[in-house]
Amino acid sequence: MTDQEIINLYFARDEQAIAETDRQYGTTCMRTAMRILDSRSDAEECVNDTYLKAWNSIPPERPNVLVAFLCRITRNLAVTRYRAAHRHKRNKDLELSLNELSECIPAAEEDGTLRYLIDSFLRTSDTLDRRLFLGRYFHNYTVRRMATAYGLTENAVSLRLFKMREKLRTYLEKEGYTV
Amino acid sequence: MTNEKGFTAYALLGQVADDMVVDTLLPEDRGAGVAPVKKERPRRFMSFLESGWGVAIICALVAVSVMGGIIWAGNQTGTGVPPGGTVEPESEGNTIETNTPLLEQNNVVVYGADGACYPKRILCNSTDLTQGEDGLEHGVTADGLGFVGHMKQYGGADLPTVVWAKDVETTDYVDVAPNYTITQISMYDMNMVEQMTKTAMTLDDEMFAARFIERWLSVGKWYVSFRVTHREGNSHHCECDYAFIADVRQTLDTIVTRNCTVKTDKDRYEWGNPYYFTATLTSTVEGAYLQVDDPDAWLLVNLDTGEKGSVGVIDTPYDTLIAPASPASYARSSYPLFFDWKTTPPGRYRLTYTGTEPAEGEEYPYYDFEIYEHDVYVLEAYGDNPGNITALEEQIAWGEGDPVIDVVFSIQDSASNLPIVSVKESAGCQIVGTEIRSWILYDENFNILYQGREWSNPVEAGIGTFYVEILGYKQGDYIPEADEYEGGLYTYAFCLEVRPYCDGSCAETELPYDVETTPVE
Repeated sequence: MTDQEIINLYFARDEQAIAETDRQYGTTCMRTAMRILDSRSDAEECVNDTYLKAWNSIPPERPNVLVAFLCRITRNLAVTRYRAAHRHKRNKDLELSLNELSECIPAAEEDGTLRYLIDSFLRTSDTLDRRLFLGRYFHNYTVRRMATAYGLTENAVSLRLFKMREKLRTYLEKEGYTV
Repeated sequence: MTNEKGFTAYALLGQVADDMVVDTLLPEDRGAGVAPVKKERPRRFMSFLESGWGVAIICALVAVSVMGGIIWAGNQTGTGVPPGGTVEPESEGNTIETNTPLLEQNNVVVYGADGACYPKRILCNSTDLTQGEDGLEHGVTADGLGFVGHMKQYGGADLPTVVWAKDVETTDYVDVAPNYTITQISMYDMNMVEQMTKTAMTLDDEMFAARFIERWLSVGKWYVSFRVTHREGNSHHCECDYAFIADVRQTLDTIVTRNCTVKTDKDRYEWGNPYYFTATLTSTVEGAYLQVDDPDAWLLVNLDTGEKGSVGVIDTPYDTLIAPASPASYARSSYPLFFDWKTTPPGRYRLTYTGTEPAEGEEYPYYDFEIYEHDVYVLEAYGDNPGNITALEEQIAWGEGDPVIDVVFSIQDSASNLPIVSVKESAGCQIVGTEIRSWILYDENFNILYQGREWSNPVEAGIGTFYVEILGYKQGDYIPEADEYEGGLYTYAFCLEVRPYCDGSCAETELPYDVETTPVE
């Protein structure tokens, strides 16, 4: 079933939409949640919440790319859950990502400009660097996993990520932000 | 620890466009209906960084002001230190503290340059602190274990900080420990990302030691581990891992008001037989020493201002020099004139010999030099140990897997005060049948800046990203039928990034660097 057909099921308020979503992207959502929560039970709850949120959002929303839409929801829900529980169980890999991100993206009042700048920066970056950057900081892939996926060494991935962070920081500072 | 800023950034990044989100999904997450990712190959010179033999990021720090010290910690737990990472800096319960006397556990031996830290050892029989004659080398050896850790600073205007470990069997520092051998040494950044691992040693003909690691360190914390094998007879006895954390950081307790050095077009001036003299300038972190070989009458003048008294006058070798913030001395070879960077005004100076009236038509002999301020640069080199570059590809290892060619980077002061990159063979590491044919310096757009093999004529690289390619030749086995040797050309490459230190954000008073120890928990 195509994404469009699944979305049509949502619009028809057909609960089969959830089943199809799960069949098509359940693993994706689960893995996304697991990379943040590092707990299967928490991740399963997070995925279920993702489906509920998707059910409540579509309609009126009509996602252009369903998997991206679902990933975003899962990611946000997982992080929210992580923040609530992190005192008890910490995901060191995620913490490292957060620390690294905080070095290159300012905690500024967001009126859409910053989002646009980040989007522009990534869009104009080297393709491989962009994939590594978003793989690491959006999808929370480990450095090792990306190294394997892209045929790089872990050090090469780390180096490229480091340089991307530096470039992004410099770019945003030139745009007037204080990182 | 809650990282609110990180969460905010994380949330912001979560709003990137859908197409980029999908594009970055790895295959296992793409689900049905999402096209596979088109594999993006790295650029030409980066490809070597991504080959199977791994990447080591070598950072080279050359700052005009560096203060050295040594920190050394040995950890004889026998359980091994990373790879894998048993140290999690900045995590709860394992905070890295500087200036902390070390250590209360894990048999760690630590030395600090300031003497505040003393060795604590459990399994080693004794520990000797060694210190070089120049007072800048600090090392510790667990005798019987056969290693020395060094932080060392070299003289001259550029004072790199170096960490190395070496087999001490042939050094004067410690007792011979013939049954112990260092078999591996690794360096990690503090995220425990491996930066370099060496399993073979190169000979340091100067130090008469097996040198496993010698590299520049940039400011930051470095985790160094090494493996020592103890053998008795032909039987393997034990293998222990040791580690230390080196914290190379700016120090505020040694204030240098400016980053200065001196330069001159000549170090010898001859004026009419028999009147001549030789002058030599040596720049250090604190100032410059001027040595002249004739204890006679001298006049030192600031050429920019014409002032004499303000900069000092040497009327006779026995007069006290009114030198800029100098300890009283006079310009003799055994008592060099000292120009303290804290107080010496930058400018052009002339030291004139006034001991003998010049012949008619002649001038007094003089020696000009200039004290000037300049920036400090950091040079970082990425590659598989640029200090001892190994093969570009695994199958073309240079010399049976042993690194035999040293590539030396340096940043020197040039006429325009920009860094210089040079590549040259290490005198102590050549083997018969190998040679470097040429090296090429590219800018970041792969425009050739230099191509040749003039080791003694380094290239001014300036600021930016550069790529260095080394073409070498390795002679292979002798082929009797052809009465010739096999051989082939090999290529090595790495990336250099040269940038102003601290990007100009550092206060002038924050130099030079210091080295401190931190505990390994």
